[in-house]
Amino acid sequence: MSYKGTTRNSGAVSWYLQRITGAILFFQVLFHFGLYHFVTGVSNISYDLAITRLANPWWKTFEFSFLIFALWHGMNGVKMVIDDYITAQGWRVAALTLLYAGIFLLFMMGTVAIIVIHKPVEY
Amino acid sequence: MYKWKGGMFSWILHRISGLGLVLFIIIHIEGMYHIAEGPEAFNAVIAGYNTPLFKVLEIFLFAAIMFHAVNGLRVILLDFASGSRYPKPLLYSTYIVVGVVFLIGAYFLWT
Repeated sequence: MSYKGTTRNSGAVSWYLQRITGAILFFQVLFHFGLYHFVTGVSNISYDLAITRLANPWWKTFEFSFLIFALWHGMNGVKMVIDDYITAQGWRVAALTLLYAGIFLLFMMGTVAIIVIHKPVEY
Repeated sequence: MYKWKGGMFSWILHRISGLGLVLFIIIHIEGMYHIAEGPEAFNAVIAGYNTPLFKVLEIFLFAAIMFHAVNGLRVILLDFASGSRYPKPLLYSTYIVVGVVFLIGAYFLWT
């Protein structure tokens, strides 16, 4: 059974949000990449540097919002690819299930890294 | 009606670079997740990035980010701003901006 492409969801909201998140990510990715790869340098990154930056609530919020926008944008982009190339219903369900489960797992792992981990309190 | 072939080429590159960036974000989040295991585990992950292979991958990553970001901005300008009045100059300036910024950035990443 193949996917007939008839649905109540026109995809207009996803289309719009893909551009909104894209516009935000334009600035976030250039800042994030520029900072870690050009200013800091990957070889200078360490546990102490990462945990000290994440102790600052502004850094934490920046990285967490970057995580959410990037994962949503990537998820929506992969869904477009699935919509375009995978038409058999069974494979569609399998691909979308894998996509949503994978994005959820990445969201949890990213949240643990950015939100849950704190700079150890010194007593 | 996609008659300008350059726009189609950009569409394909946007899709390929986007899928590449999804692959990267999986590796990146998995790597950064090790911060939860403490200093030794996290610093070991960072030390693992200090190889020529990762240096090359970093430059590929930079290329994918630059193209996807600037071309994505072009798409937004086509859809929401008056970019659709000047599709060709917009398309060519995308390649010029991406090319110039990539070459300068790749030089600094490599050295």
